Amino acid sequence: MIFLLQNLITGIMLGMVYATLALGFVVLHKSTGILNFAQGGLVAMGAYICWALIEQVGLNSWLSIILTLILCFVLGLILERFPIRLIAKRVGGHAFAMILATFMLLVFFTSLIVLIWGGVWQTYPRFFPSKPITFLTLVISQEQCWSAVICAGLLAIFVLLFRYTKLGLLMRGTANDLHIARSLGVRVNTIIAISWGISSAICGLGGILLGAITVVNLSLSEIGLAALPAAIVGGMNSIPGAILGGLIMGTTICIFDAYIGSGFGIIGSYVIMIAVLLIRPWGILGSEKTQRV
Amino acid sequence: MLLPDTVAAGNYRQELAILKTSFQKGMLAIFFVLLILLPQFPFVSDYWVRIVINFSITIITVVGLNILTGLCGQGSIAQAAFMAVGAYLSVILTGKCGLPFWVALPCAAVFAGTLGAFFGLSALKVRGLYLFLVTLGAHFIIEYAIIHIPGLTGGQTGIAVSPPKLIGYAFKSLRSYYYIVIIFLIIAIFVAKNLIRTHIGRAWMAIGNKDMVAKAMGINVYHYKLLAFFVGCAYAGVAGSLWAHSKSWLAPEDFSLMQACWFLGMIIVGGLGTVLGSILGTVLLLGLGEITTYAGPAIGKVFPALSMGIFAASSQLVYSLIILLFLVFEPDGLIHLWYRVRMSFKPATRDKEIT
Repeated sequence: MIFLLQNLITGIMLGMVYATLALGFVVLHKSTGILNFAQGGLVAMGAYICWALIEQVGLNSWLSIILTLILCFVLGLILERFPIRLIAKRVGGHAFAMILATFMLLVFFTSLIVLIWGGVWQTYPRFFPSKPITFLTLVISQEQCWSAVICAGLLAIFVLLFRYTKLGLLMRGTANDLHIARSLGVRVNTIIAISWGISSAICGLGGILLGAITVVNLSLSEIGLAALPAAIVGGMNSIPGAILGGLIMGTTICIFDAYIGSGFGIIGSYVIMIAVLLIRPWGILGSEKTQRV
Repeated sequence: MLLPDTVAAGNYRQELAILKTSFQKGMLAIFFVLLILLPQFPFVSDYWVRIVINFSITIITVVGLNILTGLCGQGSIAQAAFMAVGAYLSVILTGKCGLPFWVALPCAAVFAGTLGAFFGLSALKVRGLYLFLVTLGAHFIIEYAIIHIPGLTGGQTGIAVSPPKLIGYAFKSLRSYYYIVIIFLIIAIFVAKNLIRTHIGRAWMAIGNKDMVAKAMGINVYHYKLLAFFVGCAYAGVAGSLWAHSKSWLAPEDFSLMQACWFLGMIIVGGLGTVLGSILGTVLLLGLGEITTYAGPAIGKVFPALSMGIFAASSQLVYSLIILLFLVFEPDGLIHLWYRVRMSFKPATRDKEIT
């Protein structure tokens, strides 16, 4: 019982990080219809950039985290500008070309990391106190706890941003119908570029948190991709869906890993994703879009 | 994308023919003779024979993937995993059950194809992006299964492979195995070419353009989608089986997700939906890979500061950049480039639209 509870709590805390990463997928998919596989690469990239700023440049930890987020935001803007907008112009709505393009960006980033930093394992200096909290017989690591809190705060900020600010309104409008938004005077290209920036910055933050919980290494890109089933299960066009999906996936991964065997968690998440796709392709909280012929 | 043909066909039969002129027939015959004689030339080392074998096996997979993704429009990133299924099944059948290679290879093809069609069942429900995600899941599931059934597959360490035999003759050397691969390559290419020009190929083309329209025209969309999955994955199974028996040891890291990415890149670089395109794309990308592995140590001698790991990473970097550049500047691939070059040498006989 304690073992189950322990895993549930770890799962929920991990789930908050997955929810944040899933939010990155959803923000981009909502406004552009693109599923960005390069997010996995951006997660690893963010983790490595932050490590380089702390250890190689010698900046203060918090300053370098903020700098990393800004760099990731700019990276997102650049990505949208160079390959993505050009490809969208050339091949239009051909989804397959776009998927392949983002996959190639994933390869590009992972090989760039190997090229610059050699792909070796690195560790951050501790951001958070390392002493675990013991509550009755449960042991909760403070790092996981704090990252869950940060993610929860970030998710709240984004929900408010989308609901109550002008930028959120413009983004929702663009997501709803690109052409109508454009005809109403929304600078659609700017909005799409901002979505790319936001989703990359979210990836960077996710990378730093995952790197702080475990170690900074290349497999962060696979963990970053593991947020994809979370986004699908929750619903690709729903922000509450991303949070729900992240929590579901976090707990299932932890419980499968604990009860069936290490490594099965990720597979289990993909099995659940396939099941959801077959039963309810638009996700638990997503809305079904009518398909035009 | 145009369907160009600079040779004006006189009738329907000629229009459908794979080889249209006696010049094409002659070139093909010369090419076959060269292929068969290749290992006999004194200047061709084992290294080159190995390269031709690798190229041929990859071409078989990529042709299958091009039928599935390029022609029928069903994106799949699990092709490397289906290759692994074919490879492991044929090694297990020959090693543990003692069946001959010639029985194991069709078994591997049918099994990989059936498994592909099983995952393709989701095409009944989802399409496009989401189908792609299902195949991504399929890749991870198959990879996990292979690594975690060590009793059958040898797990992470791998499994020993026995060379194929024919009436007491064992194809132990690379040069003898070369002929098996070449024969299967030729069969695979002709089967694909023939499938594409029959009613099945036309149905796939219609589904690839717009599946709802194809349905409205009376094509049984689900039947043909499943058939495309079966054929595409059976090609991967054959290629996997050939790949496994070309080596003496089979390990799961040969069939990574990255490998599947390159297969997709090859059909983009070559051209979607054509057999010639698959061949061109494979030759270009794999050729670049060979050049980097060949030139890497030479450059490393001049600049000792660069290590081998950096070369491996930089070749991947170059690969991904090339595929991105193709997506931006020539999304129709090398085949389109080749058609344009060919068109510019021909007098205008008919109005042809070039897009």
